[in-house]
Amino acid sequence: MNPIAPSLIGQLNNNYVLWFKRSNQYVVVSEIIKDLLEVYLKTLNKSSFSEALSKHGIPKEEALSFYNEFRDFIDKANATVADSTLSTPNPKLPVLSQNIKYYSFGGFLIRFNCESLEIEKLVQPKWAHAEVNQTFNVNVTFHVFTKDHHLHLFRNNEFIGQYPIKEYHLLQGQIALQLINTFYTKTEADWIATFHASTVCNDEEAIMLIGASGNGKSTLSAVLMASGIDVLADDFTPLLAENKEVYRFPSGISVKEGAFSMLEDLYPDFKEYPLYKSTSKDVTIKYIPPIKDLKTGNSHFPCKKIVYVKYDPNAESSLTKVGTEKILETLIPESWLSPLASNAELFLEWLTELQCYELTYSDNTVAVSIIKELFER
Amino acid sequence: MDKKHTNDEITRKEALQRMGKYAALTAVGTFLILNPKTAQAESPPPIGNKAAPTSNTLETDSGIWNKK
Repeated sequence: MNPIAPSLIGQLNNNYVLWFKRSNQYVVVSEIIKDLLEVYLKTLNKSSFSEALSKHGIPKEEALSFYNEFRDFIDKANATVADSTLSTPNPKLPVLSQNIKYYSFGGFLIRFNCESLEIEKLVQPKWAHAEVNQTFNVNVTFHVFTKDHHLHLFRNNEFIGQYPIKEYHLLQGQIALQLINTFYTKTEADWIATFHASTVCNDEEAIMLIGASGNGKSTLSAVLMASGIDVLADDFTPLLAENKEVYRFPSGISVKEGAFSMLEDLYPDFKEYPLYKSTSKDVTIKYIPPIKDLKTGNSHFPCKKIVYVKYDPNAESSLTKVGTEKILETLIPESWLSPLASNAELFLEWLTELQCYELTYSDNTVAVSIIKELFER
Repeated sequence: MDKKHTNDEITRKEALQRMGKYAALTAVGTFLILNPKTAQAESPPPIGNKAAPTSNTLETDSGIWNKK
């Protein structure tokens, strides 16, 4: 098989999604582009490509121009990016101060030992609702510390990874992955993706909410939860290969200061939740505890609906159907997708089953009605 | 789902027949390459009363982020 050709091709309506194994990149193209690309990959050089196209009335100059564009495209589609999380071999776990906290998730006891309070604040606020005093029968212990300008993560005294300090969201993501692996007895290879998305569910299915940071997806999740809707995951939604279902990630829901006064009306004890503040970003944040956890809520659901969420105070709230291709433009670059071919194939299959929507909302009550109605469709 | 590996027979006749019609409208440059994250990540939230780590904190040899 041609190593630079897409390894997988999936169809979405009139378009095709190409997957390049070498780079783990996806490209959405029209049918005619896909066909021209296949000719390009089949022909050996410029002149044979031009000759193949000339038989169908495409002028030589135009064909040569296409050839150059396809060559450039194939280069980009296969280009790999440097991984900033590469680690030095076998770093050792130093003796850390006894800055330890325990968290309970549906029978799993997780122990965090962070080097400092600053690091603790980096990784733990979203779990504050699950903190317990119990210190025995620990399932997993995490150690987090800084060394050589990197945050280091150990799990049960085993080195997991190191992450540049400014990319601390990668440490948070790795901890999130380690937690779901613990909760569901999985490894990274078992997951198709971990989406940068919030997900809500009823007793039968899940609806994923996506959108650029600041679009209001977490705030909407909090509003939906106040109306009794179960929030399966906030910010981090894992999709399992085995059943192509999304799994519960029982973190607190992060909400920003701009939404505080509105949420105080919905959550009677909202003022009691701890405040986390960033002086540099001038952003204040709180975490709302989820209403269900691993014990009280189902752990996984099929998810066949994705809603691109956009809060716009000047717009009339509305839900419109959009193509999956449009959703991919936000979903893929914001998420981790497994580089394994078997998982990429399942991802393409999952895409074909999706119904995608765009929700513009200004009114919370209307938005809640729209999502509730969407569960019925 | 119409999914296939590209080592299948390609160059479909009907597709080629359409090329003449569509070629003038085709711009390869409109490809949008979608690149997923190479590692699991979460949105960077603010931390405590401290500013989120920045590149400046990386460059200094003192301070909480650069111990050891």
